[in-house]
Amino acid sequence: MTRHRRNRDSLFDRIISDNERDLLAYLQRRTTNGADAADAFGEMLLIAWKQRTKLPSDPVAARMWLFVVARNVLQNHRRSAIRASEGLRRLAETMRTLVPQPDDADDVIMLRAAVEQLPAADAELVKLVYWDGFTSAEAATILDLNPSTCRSRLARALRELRSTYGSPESETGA
Amino acid sequence: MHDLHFEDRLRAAAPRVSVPLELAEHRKRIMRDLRNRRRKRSTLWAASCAVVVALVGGGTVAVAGNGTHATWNVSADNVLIIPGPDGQTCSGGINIETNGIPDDSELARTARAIVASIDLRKLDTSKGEAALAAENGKPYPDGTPGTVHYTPQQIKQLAMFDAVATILADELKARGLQMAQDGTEPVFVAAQMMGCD
Repeated sequence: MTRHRRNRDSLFDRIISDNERDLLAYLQRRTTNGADAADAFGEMLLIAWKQRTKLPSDPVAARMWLFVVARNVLQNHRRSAIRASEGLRRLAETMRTLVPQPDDADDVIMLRAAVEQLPAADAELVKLVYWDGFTSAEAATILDLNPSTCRSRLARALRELRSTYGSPESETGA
Repeated sequence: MHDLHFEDRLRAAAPRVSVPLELAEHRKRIMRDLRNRRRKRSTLWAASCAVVVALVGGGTVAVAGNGTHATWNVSADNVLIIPGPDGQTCSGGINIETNGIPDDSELARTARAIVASIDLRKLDTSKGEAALAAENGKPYPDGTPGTVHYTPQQIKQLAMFDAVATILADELKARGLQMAQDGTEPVFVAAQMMGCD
């Protein structure tokens, strides 16, 4: 084994380990159930592993890269042979047996529905910033957008949300 | 409503998620599966042409050869039946698949004829089996953590596919045809197996 390859694989393991919980949460927020999230998580691991030579060495850039992979997995509904993985089957089973969270209040459900009613690209931007905790610049990287374009779209989406949700108009500082 | 308050409420509207505490262990298991699968695949690619193997789910299977339809709705150019684990039968169909060339091209037709003419029962795979067995217990050559472990069934299957791929490449070459062109494989061997793992 070459030192370069050993370092690369070690970097891959470390970056995945640092981000796996956020990645699974990201996938969970965009899939209908835990088993589907597990399925997408496995596919994300497979693709990231195959393309690990492209993994940036900078931790922040690597995190962004992984979320781009996860986003592409969600956009591509095809799933590969990773489904046959025994390890993935066990994760899906675990996800199915997790204790369900209590129901949210009505106003939370309504606000969530309002986000879903936004144009898909705007909804995804709002989710990345407000649900996944990315800055608008990081969201721009994941969505392959110009940062200033991203900021203006985000402001527009917030205006739309406030309008739909019945809140008074004001400017965003996001 | 102040805008920051609205943004806080927006953050609070994130769908609730539950991530297993033992996610890292799950991820390591999945990665092990991936790496083992990759290792099997790389062995096949080491042959002189590409072989893709798909494992079919449980149950029984009947496969018919030489272009006739099998009970699981696939046509097979040749049929492989060897002992599987736990007394079951490992069986499957071997097909020539095309990649970027017409299915009825000379190369595809010739490759199919060659594969169909191979008597799999008489193939001498002892050399390939010995080479694979010798890898057992050794570190993965690509740096994957752990050591190689092939079951006797896997050794038999892999040696068989390597032998088929090698014969095919040699025969095509002898007939003035090429398996690989500009780094791509216009035809490759695909196998669907059942009861083999």
